[in-house]
Order: sequence, then structure tokens, then C-alpha cells
Amino acid sequence: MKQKAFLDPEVLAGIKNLVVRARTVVEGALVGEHVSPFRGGSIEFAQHRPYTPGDELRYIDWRLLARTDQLHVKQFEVTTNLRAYLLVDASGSMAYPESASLSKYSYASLLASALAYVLIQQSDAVSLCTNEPDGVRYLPPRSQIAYLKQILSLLDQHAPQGEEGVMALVRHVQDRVSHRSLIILMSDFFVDLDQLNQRIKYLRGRGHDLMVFQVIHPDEVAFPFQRFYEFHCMETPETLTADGRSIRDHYLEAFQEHQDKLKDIMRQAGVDFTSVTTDQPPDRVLARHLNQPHRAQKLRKMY
Amino acid sequence: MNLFSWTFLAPAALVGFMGIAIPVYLHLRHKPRAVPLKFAAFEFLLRARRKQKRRFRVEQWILMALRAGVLALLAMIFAQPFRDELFQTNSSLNRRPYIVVLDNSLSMLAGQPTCFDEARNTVRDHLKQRDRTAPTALLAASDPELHLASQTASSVEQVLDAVKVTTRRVTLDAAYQRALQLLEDSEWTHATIQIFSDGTRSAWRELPPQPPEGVEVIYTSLRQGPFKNIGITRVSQPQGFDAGELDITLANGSANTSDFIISVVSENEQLTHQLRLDRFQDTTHRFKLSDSSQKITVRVPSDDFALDNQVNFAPDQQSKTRILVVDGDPSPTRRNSESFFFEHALNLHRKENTSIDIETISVNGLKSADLSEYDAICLLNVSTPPTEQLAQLVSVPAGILISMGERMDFDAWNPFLLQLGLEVFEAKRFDRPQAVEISVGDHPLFEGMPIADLELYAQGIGIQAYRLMSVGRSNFSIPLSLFDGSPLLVAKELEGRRYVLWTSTMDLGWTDFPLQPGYLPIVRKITDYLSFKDAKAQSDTLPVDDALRLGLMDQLVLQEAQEGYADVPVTGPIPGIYTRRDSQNAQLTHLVIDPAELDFRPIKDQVEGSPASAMEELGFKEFSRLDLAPNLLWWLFGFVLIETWIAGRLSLKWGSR
Repeated sequence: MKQKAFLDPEVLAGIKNLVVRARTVVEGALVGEHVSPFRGGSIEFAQHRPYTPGDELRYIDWRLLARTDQLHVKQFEVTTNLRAYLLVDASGSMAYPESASLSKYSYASLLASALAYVLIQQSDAVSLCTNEPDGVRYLPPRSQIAYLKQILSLLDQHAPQGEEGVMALVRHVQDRVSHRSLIILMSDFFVDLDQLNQRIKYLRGRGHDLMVFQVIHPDEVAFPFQRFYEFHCMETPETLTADGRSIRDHYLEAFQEHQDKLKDIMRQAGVDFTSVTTDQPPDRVLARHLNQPHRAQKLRKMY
Repeated sequence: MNLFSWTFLAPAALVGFMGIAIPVYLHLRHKPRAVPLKFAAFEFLLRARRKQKRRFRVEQWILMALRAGVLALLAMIFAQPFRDELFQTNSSLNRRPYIVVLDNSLSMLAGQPTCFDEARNTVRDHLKQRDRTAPTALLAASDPELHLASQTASSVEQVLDAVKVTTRRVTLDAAYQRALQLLEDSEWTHATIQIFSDGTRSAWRELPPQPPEGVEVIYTSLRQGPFKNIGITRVSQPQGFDAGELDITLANGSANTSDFIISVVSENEQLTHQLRLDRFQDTTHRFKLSDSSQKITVRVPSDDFALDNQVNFAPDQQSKTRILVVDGDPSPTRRNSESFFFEHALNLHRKENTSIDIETISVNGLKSADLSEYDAICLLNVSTPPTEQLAQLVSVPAGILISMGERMDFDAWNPFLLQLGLEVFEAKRFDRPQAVEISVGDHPLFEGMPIADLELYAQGIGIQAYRLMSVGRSNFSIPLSLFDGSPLLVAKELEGRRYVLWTSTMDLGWTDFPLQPGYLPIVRKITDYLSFKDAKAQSDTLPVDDALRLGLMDQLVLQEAQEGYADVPVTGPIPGIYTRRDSQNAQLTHLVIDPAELDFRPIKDQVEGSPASAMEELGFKEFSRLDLAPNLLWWLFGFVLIETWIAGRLSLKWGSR
């Protein structure tokens, strides 16, 4: 069996045009046996496919059953009223690393772009919400192809900075979304988890579907620093001087506590949670996430 | 090892120079300033730091304690601490000339084990540590020359057991002087003299001179802690009192006040008495037993020095002193006779059972008297000498008093007196009383007489008339004379007899002299002298050393040794009860320990107001002074090493702080 090749994030980062990058990711994610999880209810017939257990009985083509004595279900072209809100954290911490390598924000942008591409291609309305130094930048949901370019352009040009992060985005969006919608959060979630838990529960209580991508850098997981550092906080002026080796164990312990608590919150809220590091191929991440049976079932139920 | 002009006693310590590599390494290893790094997960770093700070604080406390310790050690090193330890010969001294001065006086037998045994064991240990041929000498206090033939460690060790305690009164003075002389003769330089003593003041007759340059004197006191010693220093019979009476002298040789019970035990009787004696004090108590036993035992509770806790005493059973008084001018009225006052002076305050027996007769009574029965014959104002009777006087010793009064015919007396070298002239009278010049000199007649009594005599006599005497070349002593030197009383011992001529003034014109307080002690002293009381007392109870000094030991035969000497190897006369070979009346002599040996007053107390003891003042070392600074330097080195290690480790962990 041929080894499947995934896209190197670094290589993707070298692609200047975010549209191209998004399409590349999407194509990589949906190639082969992958089926779009967003393919749902429609008024225009598209094709038949063999029945598989779990398919709703109302979509069985009874006539074809009579003719062929085989069970097939009907599939329809998408004409959806899905509204997806992309909340991309652009706080200062997302700028890590500031070196030439792929930052967490770049990686989150890539994922967000790919998702926006998929959704708009399916005529779903996509909204973008991200941080700006003086507040929150919000693009309302639209489903036009041309709108995709505007979304991607905003993501591409934006530089992460400031203290306000994903919490500000959630606060901004929660009162503006009236219908049940898909809310996709992309952040490193280095925030107060108790407050985040309240927001997540609130959104879930409003019936929204949540996809949560935690984007972190491998350095934050492994803490490979072996020298003296004057650590500067990327959101506040705070500094801390420490020896990387001596503080590593305590850091990893604190980090793991945070991660465990975050996963626990997401699990209790019934949220699709994916923690990715920026060295993972984004198409692979996307594919793994979108093709979860769980995700597909939920989408079908919704539409 | 020499470096420039420095000498190192412990060159191995120079290995420590390798430690210089540590700061050099740390210097080279030292990290530059912290690398600035923007980091997103800053919150976790803060949490990590909070956890890490707890450990950091502990390390900082340790570091602070170490640094405080370094400073404390530095301060102590500059203060040059030292500790005094008992002297021990060691490898660096095992070739150095070493002279042991060993106190072998009786007081060294105090303690259990005794100071003497401990001293010998210590010396033996020291000798074993020394090179066998190292120059060594042993000087015993009793006889410094005895073991000087042995001058190596091995030979001294062989003769060490031959040194024994002596009962003689010995001090360390001669042995110490001999040690210094030995050093000078042997040209031993940089020598060590170690003096082993019980640490008492009585171990020295006088403070020794300072040691010369290069000679180290170690004064080792074997006495550990204060001794408790109540000792019986003397048991004697009081003169002129009952035979059953005893004077017991006790001494507290320890530094604490002691309560104790003394028991006096005879064959049929036992007396006990509770006594308290202050530190280093002595006291004499008189005990009276109802019977006169052959042997009396005086006992005090046992203590650290056992040899003075019991004394056996044989009371003197000799007959009373018999005195014949010949009154040459008897008066029908008894109180007008000189003999009345004379006799009264001898008997005043004496009890019925007195040890003196006085018989008074007239001159005529002399013819029928047996003069050989008397210890003293007192011729008071006898007109002519009873030459024939005196010629029959065979008792030796015996004494004759010639009291010259008004009735004395000097022409009749002079032939007799000229045989003694004396001549008497007519009486001389003064217009007014003349003062008496008392020249007691060192004549035994007035020996032991209180000066107050002599002053009473001088004040009481108002001389108005006296007989002129010429002593010529007779070698008579003149214990009493007038202001111009004219003899009032002359005395001489000749061929076992004692003669006293006394111009008493009584009959040379009546005075109130016999009523004066000074009359009584003079009369008693004269009769004591004539009856050889002083000579008898000398042989009664006396210290061992006095018996040796007087040459009495050839005449003494031990009858009973004092308790405790049977198991003790000592040299010298054993204290106890002796008889004299030449004594006609089997007189007993009691030899006792020299009282100085019972005094355990430490020599350290001798210098008042000075923190140093008397020995230290003289440059003697009572201990080996151990310099502690080198030890502290090792501690300092260790502290600095640990501090450097921890500081370096913290520096690596925390960077510049």
C-alpha cells in the first residue's frame, strides 16, 4: 500500500496565496475515499449510493428497490442554510514563534481558510471573527464565492498581537448568532479555563455546534530550552529569567494540568476538540477531524 | 617542605591548591546573560516558578547558613582558639629529651586508684610511645640521684616499678633542680620535663624557678577533682594532766567543709563525737577516757586518703614527775614561806589526779631524803649547799634549781658553784625597781612559752635587790637578765643534769612578785626544764621526718604499725608505735605522718587575683595547649567548598541573581 503523503506545514507556509493554500489543504483532506461531512439534505437529486446501516430510511429510493431489489439511498445537491462562524484567536500568544517558522496564528489561519473554502464551496455562509488591537474584527456570514477572498485576505494580512484572545471573540459572537450555527474556535486556549468553560456551556446551551481546534507549538509541549532565558510574555510586559533545564519539569507539569483540564471541559460540553501542534500536516488534521463518524452524523442530523 | 622561607608542618594540605581549579572552572563555565525569548505559554512558566521558588528558598537558606558559618569560622580562626589537653608524647616528640620528675611523697597514695599508680602508668604509657633509645631520665622526689644511671626510655621503663612512695617528708624542689642540672650537664636542648604530682601546695617547699629557654615543663596533676580528706595529724597526752586525757589534732585537707564523727576507742570504752571542720582548717580537741588503757584507737571516717584515718596510740604510763622542794627559810606561817608560793604555782589549776607530785621539806629533811627518786630538786633560799646529798644524786636526767635569797651564804655556796664555773657575789640593791631585760634567745627553757607570759613576767617584776652572778667561762646561758645584762637566771645542762640559778628576789626584800601573773608560767617552765619535759615530749609524738632528722630511728623499735601500711609498698619509717632501745622506763614514741602531707590544698589557688595558676605564672604548662585553628581551617575549607558548589549549582540553575 502506498504511503500516504501529507502536506508539510512548512511547505504550505511557503505558499504566499492563502487561497491556494486553502485549496491545497482541502484537496489533500478530501482526496480518495473521503466524503464531505457537510453533504446533507437537498432539494435537487444528485446521485444514488448503496444503503449503509445508519442511513435514514426516508432517503431510501423505494422505486429503485422495487426494480433492482437493492437498497439505495438518494443524495441531493447541497442547498444549505448552514452558518459557520470562524473564530480565530489573534492574540499575542498566537504569534509564537516569531521566527521564520510557521506561527500558531499562521497554522490556525490555514485551517480556518481550508474550512472556509470547503464551506463556501458548499454554499454555506461563513463568518470570520478575529482580534484586532482595538477590538474585534467581525465579518458577517456570507456564502458568495467572492466573500471567501475577503475572509482569506483578512486572515492573511492580520498580525496577532495584544492580550485579547479567544474569550473576547466568543463574547463578541455569542450575542450576534441567533440561529443554531456551527462555531469553529481556533486558539491556543492559554486562557482562564473556568471562564472558558462558562462560555462553552453557554454556546452549547444555545444549540450551537462547536468545533474547537487548539493550536499549539511543539516548543510549548516539549519545552526544549536548555539555556538561560529571559522569557518575555507575548501579551503582557512581564518577563521571567530562568534556566530552561531547571524549570522544565515544573513547566511541563503545569502545562499538562492545563491540557487535561481543557480536554475535560470540552468532553463534558460535548465539543469536538482537537489539539494540534503546528508541525502536524494541516490536511491530515483536517481530514481526521472532518471524517469522524461522529462529525458526519451530527451534521446530517442538523441538516 | 620549604618554600622560600616558609616551612609547612602539613605539606599534604597543599593538595588543596587543586581547589583553585574550581573557581577557574566556574569562571569559564559561567553563562552569559540570559537569552531573551518571547514565549506564549508564559502563564505556565509563572506557575513553574512558583513551585520552583520553594526549593530555591531552601537552597538559599542553606547557602546563607554556610556563608554565616564561613564568617564565624574566620572570626574563630583569628581569635586563635586552643584547648588544653593532658600532655601526651607523640611522634613528633618521641626523640626529644624527656625527664620525668615523680612525686613519691605519701600524699600520692590518695585516691583510688592512687595518684602514684596513675602517675606510674602514665609515665609507662609515655615511655612506650617513645623511641627506645631516646634520652630519658627519671627523678624521684625522695632521691633524685637514685635512677640517674638509666637514661634511655627502655631502661627508665625497667626501673619505674622500683620507685616507691616514701613516708618521709619530701618535696619536688630538689628533684626539679636536679632535672635542670641534668639538662645542663647532658647538654640536652629543647627538652621536656614532666612533673607528676598530686597538685597540692605541699608538694613544693617553695615555688620553683622558671624553666630556661627551650625547656618545656609540663606540670601534671594526677588529682582529678577535689579530694575529701579528714586526717588525724597528731595524738598526744597533754602535759601535766590526767593520763586518760588525749589531745587529738585533726585537719581538713579538702576544699569543702566536712561534718564527720570521730571515735576514740579504748579497751573498755568508746567515745564518739560529731565535728565540723572548715576547708583546710585544723583543730585540736581534748578527749578524756575514764580509764587509762594500754592502747587507744582514734578513728575518723574513711575518705580519699586512707592512711590518716586511724591512729593507734599507747598512752604514756610513766609515773608522775616528782619534784622536791627544799625550803631554806621555812616560816611558822606557811604563807610567809617561798615554798608555799612555789608549790602553789606548780599546783594551781591542776586536778587531783595530776601528773606532778611535789614534796616540800626543810633543809634538815634533806639528810633523810632519797634524792634519786626526784626528777627535779628545787633549793629555795638554802643557806649552805647540801653538797653530800647532791653528790648522791644519781638519777639522770634530773635537775637542780638554786633559788638565791636573803639567807643564801655565798661564801659557802661558791665552792660548789665554782665546780660549775659560776660565782655568786653579795646582793645588790637599787633605789627603785629596775626593768628586766628578757633575752629568751633560743634557750629551751622558754621554748614554747607564749610571749604574753614573758611580757607579764617583765611587767610583774620590780627588781629592788638581786645576787650578783658571774658566769665566767662556764657556758651557762642567761635566759633572763637585767637591763644592763646582769644575769637574773642562768641555766646549763651538764652530764645529764640541768642546773638553774635564779635570783628570784623573793627573799631579797619582800615583793609581790609571787602574786603576779608572770610568776606561775616562769616557775612551771623552770620545773619542766629541770625535769627534762621537753626532751620527753620530743620523743612522744613526732613526724617521721623529725625522727629521721634527730637520728632517733636507730633507737626506735617498731611495736605496732599504723593501720593501712601492710599492703602499701613504701620506703622509710612506718608510722606507728615505737619503743626506744635506750629508754630505762620503756617510753613509747609515736611516729606520725607529716601534717603537710595531709594538706590537699591545690597549688592552683596560690595566686590570688590572677586567672593563671601559680604553675602557669611560672611558665609551667599544666596541659598541652592544642591549637585549634588548623582544625578550623579544614572546616573553613570544607564550608567554602560546599558553599562554592551550591552557589555554582544555583548559578547554573538560576543564572545571575
